[in-house]
Amino acid sequence: MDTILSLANGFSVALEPWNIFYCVVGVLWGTIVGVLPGLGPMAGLALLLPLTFKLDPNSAIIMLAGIFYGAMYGGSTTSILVRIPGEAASVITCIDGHEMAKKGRAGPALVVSALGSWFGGTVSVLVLMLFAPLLSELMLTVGPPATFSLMVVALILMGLVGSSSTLKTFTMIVAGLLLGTVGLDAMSGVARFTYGSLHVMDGMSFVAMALGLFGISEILLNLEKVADLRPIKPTFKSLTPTLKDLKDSAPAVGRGTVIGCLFGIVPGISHVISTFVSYALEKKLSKFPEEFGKGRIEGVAGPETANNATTGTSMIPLLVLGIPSIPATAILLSALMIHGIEPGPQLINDHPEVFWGLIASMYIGNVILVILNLPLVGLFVNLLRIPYGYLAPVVIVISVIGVYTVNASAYEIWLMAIFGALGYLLRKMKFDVAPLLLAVILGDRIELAFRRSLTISDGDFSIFIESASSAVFLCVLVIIIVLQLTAWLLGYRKKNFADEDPN
Amino acid sequence: MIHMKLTLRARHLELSFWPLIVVGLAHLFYETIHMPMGKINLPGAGVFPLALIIPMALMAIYRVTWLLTHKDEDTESIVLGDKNIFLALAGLVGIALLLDLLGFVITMGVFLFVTFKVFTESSWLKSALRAALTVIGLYVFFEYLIGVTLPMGPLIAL
Repeated sequence: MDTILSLANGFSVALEPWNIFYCVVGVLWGTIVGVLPGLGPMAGLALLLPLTFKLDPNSAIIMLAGIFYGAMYGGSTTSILVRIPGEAASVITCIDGHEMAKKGRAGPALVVSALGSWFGGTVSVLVLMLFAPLLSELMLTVGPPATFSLMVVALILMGLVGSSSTLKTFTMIVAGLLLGTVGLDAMSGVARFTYGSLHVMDGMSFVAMALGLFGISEILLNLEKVADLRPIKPTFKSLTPTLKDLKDSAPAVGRGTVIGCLFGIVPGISHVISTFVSYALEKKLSKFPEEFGKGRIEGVAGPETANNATTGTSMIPLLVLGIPSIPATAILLSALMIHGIEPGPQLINDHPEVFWGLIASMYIGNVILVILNLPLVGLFVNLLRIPYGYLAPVVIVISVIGVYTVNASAYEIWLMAIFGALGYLLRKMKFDVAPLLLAVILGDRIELAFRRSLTISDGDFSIFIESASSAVFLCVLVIIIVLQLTAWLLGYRKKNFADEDPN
Repeated sequence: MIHMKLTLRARHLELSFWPLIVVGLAHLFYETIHMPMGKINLPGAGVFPLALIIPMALMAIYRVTWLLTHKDEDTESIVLGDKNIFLALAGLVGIALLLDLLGFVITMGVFLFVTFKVFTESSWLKSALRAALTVIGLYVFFEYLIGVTLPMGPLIAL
């Protein structure tokens, strides 16, 4: 009953005209950045983040969340029509989606992808709505030792499932934690690595870092590989899927929803991994596995549902634990903090209007996505025709406006340029830069939890084991490490035996 | 677009990168040991950075050693240094230097004009017209619709 009342209050927030407007702006901008190759949800969020500073917190979060799930949706359009993934989570959709488009079945692929995304997204929000308050109550009872252990588990998991090599991912995590220490120490007020500069006393600007690492570096990478895009343009009439299409897709949508909801909670690149798992499962369960890669609708429905189904559940660690599970949610975390809202177990009690307003807006936003985007598919296709030579400078100018508005200072532009160049080089060397940003945002909290724990225990490290909840998290960590080591050893043995095999 | 690329071995690029990281970490280590370390029951500001610098330095040294001992696995090339990339970065530096001095319209107008001209290889006139229209459009959108205050520079008198 409480949940229904709270949700009703959430709808009263989300249905305010300005919030509906910002929701529409968010999902449209999200779809656009999802459609345009080289501009993913991270860049889309980072670009608009500074512009939300003047909005009230509800509107800001509603709009930014709209960009997040809108981008997940938009990525499929480019994958299906051009065979270029709009963002990482749509890579797998290229395979069967574009094959369907080449056979003149772009319409059904787009519609099934849209309906699957809507279904997956909506169920995911339902899971968020039901589980977040329960988990939040549970987390209210844990102290700094458990918080520290939980964040360590999250970072280790992130390192193990990262898209680059484990060593490189852990380097990025440690570098991010180190960058997070720049500025005044929250406990003692000592200035760390500031070199006397007043600009960095409050720490490195997160907005400049995010825009540099994701916005500018993405543009620089794309400036190298510009090609004329020739999208397949579906007509409005051809959008209707057949009854067989819907019947074939339904089980894939159901399975994709379960996979996406489960993977959304895991820190790292779960939104991308979930699509690969869904595709592999569909192929394994299909009566016609040989037709995968040649335009099977399940190969579109499953992964596209899965990536949108991660959006709601990935908000659970963000809102309840204050841990961004996927890179885009790090920007949402930063937005919440900029607006004076501390994500964590207290959020639902302290700011119910933000939590329930966001949930209600996600239900509404998922419907808006389907209603607006299918008729507008022609417009999005035309966006793909804009030469990158025009698009890139305009995105750079918008990024500059974004960082400049933070403090009306050119220092942020310098920082963005430096992180842009660094991000470009790192990505060239196959470093995944997302863990760096996630670690920056977790850095000061992990340090505070560690130091507070030692203060509480009078310097006794056994507090991390004696605290029951902390011990549980550390057990999870040990299990993960043992599993990883076992997998590594088995792989190593297999490789060595294969090398020794004379045949 | 102008394409003039620089091709490097991935190993060589990493062999320049990791030692730089080690040097940087050595400097941070020096900075950190001058921070208060506190006591075991009240850790000081230097403890956490120190706990990060040491494993990162070890990872960097391990990687350098691996790269030096696995020369045969150097199969990959990395393409760097497209002229367009340098122009975009130089443009950003120019913007950082001139934005407060010349204001949004002039600085961004020049940046857009040069990048449009070079990136799309269109005529001077077309590039100038498109840059002017874009910069005015962006100024009106952000200043009047979004309410962002952008620097005006010498144009403030208008």
